[in-house]
Amino acid sequence: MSRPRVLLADDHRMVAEGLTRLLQPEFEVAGVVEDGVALIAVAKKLSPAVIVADITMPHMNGIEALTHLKRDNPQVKVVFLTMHQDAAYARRALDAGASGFVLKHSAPAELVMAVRAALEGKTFITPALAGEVLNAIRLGPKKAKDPVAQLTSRQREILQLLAEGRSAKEIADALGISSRTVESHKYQMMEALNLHHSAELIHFAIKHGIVEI
Amino acid sequence: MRYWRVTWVTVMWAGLTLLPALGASPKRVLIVHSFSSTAPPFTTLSTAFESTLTEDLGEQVDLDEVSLDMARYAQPEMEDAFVEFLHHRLTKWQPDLVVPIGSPAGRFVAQYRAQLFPQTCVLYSGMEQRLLPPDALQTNAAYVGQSIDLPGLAEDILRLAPHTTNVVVVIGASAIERFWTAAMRRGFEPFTNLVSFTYVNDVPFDRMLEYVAKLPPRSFVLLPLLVRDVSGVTLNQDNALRRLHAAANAPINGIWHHQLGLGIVGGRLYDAETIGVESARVAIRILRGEPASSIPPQIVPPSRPRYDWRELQRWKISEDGLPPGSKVLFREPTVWGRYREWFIAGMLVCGLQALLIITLSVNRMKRLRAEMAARDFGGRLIKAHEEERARLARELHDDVTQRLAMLAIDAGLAERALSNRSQAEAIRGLRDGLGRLSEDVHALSYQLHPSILEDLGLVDALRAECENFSRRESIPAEFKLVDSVATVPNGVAICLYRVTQEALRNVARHAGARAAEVSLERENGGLHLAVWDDGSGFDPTVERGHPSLGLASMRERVRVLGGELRIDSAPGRGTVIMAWVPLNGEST
Repeated sequence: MSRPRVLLADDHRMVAEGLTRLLQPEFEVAGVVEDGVALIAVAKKLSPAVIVADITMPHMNGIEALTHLKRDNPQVKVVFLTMHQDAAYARRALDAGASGFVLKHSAPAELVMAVRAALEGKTFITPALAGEVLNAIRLGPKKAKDPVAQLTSRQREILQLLAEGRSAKEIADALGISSRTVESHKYQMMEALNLHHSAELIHFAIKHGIVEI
Repeated sequence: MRYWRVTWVTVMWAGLTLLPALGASPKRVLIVHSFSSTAPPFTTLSTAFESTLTEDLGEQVDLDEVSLDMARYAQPEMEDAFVEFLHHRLTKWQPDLVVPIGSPAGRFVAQYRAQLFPQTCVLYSGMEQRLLPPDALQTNAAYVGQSIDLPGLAEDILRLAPHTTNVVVVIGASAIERFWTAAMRRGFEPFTNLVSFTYVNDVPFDRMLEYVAKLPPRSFVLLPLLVRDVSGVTLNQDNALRRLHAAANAPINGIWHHQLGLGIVGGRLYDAETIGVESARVAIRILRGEPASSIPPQIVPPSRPRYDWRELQRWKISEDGLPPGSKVLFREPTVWGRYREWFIAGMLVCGLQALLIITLSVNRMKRLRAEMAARDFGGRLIKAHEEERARLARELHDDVTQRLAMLAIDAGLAERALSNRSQAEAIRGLRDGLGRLSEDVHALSYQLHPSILEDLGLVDALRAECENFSRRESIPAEFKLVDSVATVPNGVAICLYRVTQEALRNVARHAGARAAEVSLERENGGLHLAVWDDGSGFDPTVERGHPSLGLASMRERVRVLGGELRIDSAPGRGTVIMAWVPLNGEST
């Protein structure tokens, strides 16, 4: 049985060489590319079982390249290998459909595991970030217990002025913005709070103490 | 001591009692007028004489006046009656000084002084020198008068109007005027080959007016004296001159200085006022005890030539032909001349205003330019600073951390190759150390420049910043995104990111907040960022006076991009820092 083919994408040649040696015993490193654009082209040609890619690369970064590849082949498996010990990167990578997220300096211990997991259709996240990423997923989009907290400071400021009985024009003049912008803020607040009339918005402001009467 | 004081008081008392006795006898002066009280130039002289005398003598003057009015009563029997009358009058009031004014009065006094007031001093005033009797000044008498240069009158006329062919002499018919008529006929003799002289003296004044109205060209009118016309009408010479001036079709000249301005053109003129003043001075000397005969007779010469500018203009007489040292009076100022001061003042004010406006504009321009330069410089400084940090961060990330990662990978490979457990353990420790070092360098790189902005964009960068903040400071910081914001220009992204970073740093340091919030929304073609906390707040007006470096740099960053930064805070009410930055080119 032949070894699964792996495509490496890293613009640091020396790192790529180290990674090749790290992967060789178990996988066949079918190719090494140095930027995102090359990655897309070579991946289409070689159809590797797993792609191991850096995120920060010239021309196109790894996540953007993955988005492109997914469009053509949703089954494509990419394990990201990066310096960024940052949950934001991991989350974005997973959102884009990554199969793994490994930190470069943990590669000796984790990379082979991550590629294996990818081949099995699982997702591997480096333990250094797993907790954080899972927390974010668990919390999900904020379940607002306090509806006022759904509004931004700017929206609250405008709502307060509206509830005080000022017109859009007056608010626009006071804040140095256009009336249209004020209207747009109003509309967005109504949408965020699932309200349908301006009167309801004012009622909301009074009920939640945004304005004192 | 006491004795001396008494003596001193006594002397003073004596002095005081003497003073009223001295002041009780005013000097008595009798003025003898030639004509009535309105006969210029004699009245011009007498008025100046009287006022100078009373003002300058310094003691009381008892002035008495009589008028011969010789013009009217020239007959010998009338004169005898007048002498008789005066004789009676002088028995009651003896003068200290007798002052006849004018030639007729002078001749009368000289003739009758021995009979009327033999002991009294006489001052002949305003008398024509050639009419003064040869022996008049021999006993106790003084003289101040004039000697009219008759050829000079003709010369002055010819100087003014060299082409004059006809000089019309307007003169009255009284005795003195007849004397002058005869004198002029003789005096003008040398000019008769150049000019013909017409004497208008034997007609009433009305006829004279008619006559001068129809003069042939190149005529000139001379008015030497006009007291009484042939019909017996007494004339005020000055009024007569005015009427002549109104009627005549030729220029007019006179003799007296005070006539200048009444219609004469001008020349060497005799000043009756000066004669009056000089006479008064001589009178004062005599009244103070100086012997009259010791005072030399004084002939007041004519003034330097003086002219009436209006007459020169009227008769088109050029000022170039006037003798040197001439004075032109009554010059009618031009509009410029009349309002020159106002013009100059106005222009000066306008000039100053213009200068002020220019100076202010220049200053304003300089300031605007300096502000622009400062803004530009501030912008470039921030940009250069950020670029340098980004370069360093890239260097650390692309080179140092990658090499560390490579070493870690190599260590991992070596570890795998080793069978010796303790050696492998050592290598593992090395690998872990490299890993931690790599993390630290990466964190340092991130601090220098958040590569996340380029890799994931502003929204993820802000969200990550909030998460990192929440974890680090244990203050939940929520990130709210109202609109989807796709691509943000690098400058705007780094600006808003740094503002957020600084604002959150302030929240951590000063606010004592329980919660914070970062929100980003599109507004007015730009991005509106708000960093809110529920902490202690502060008074932004106090802060504005002495802004912290952090706030100042936030303001500067936003200002450089043409945006606005606003701080809404009050003690105990939390803080919102709001930054609006335009998205030039609408790249969202």
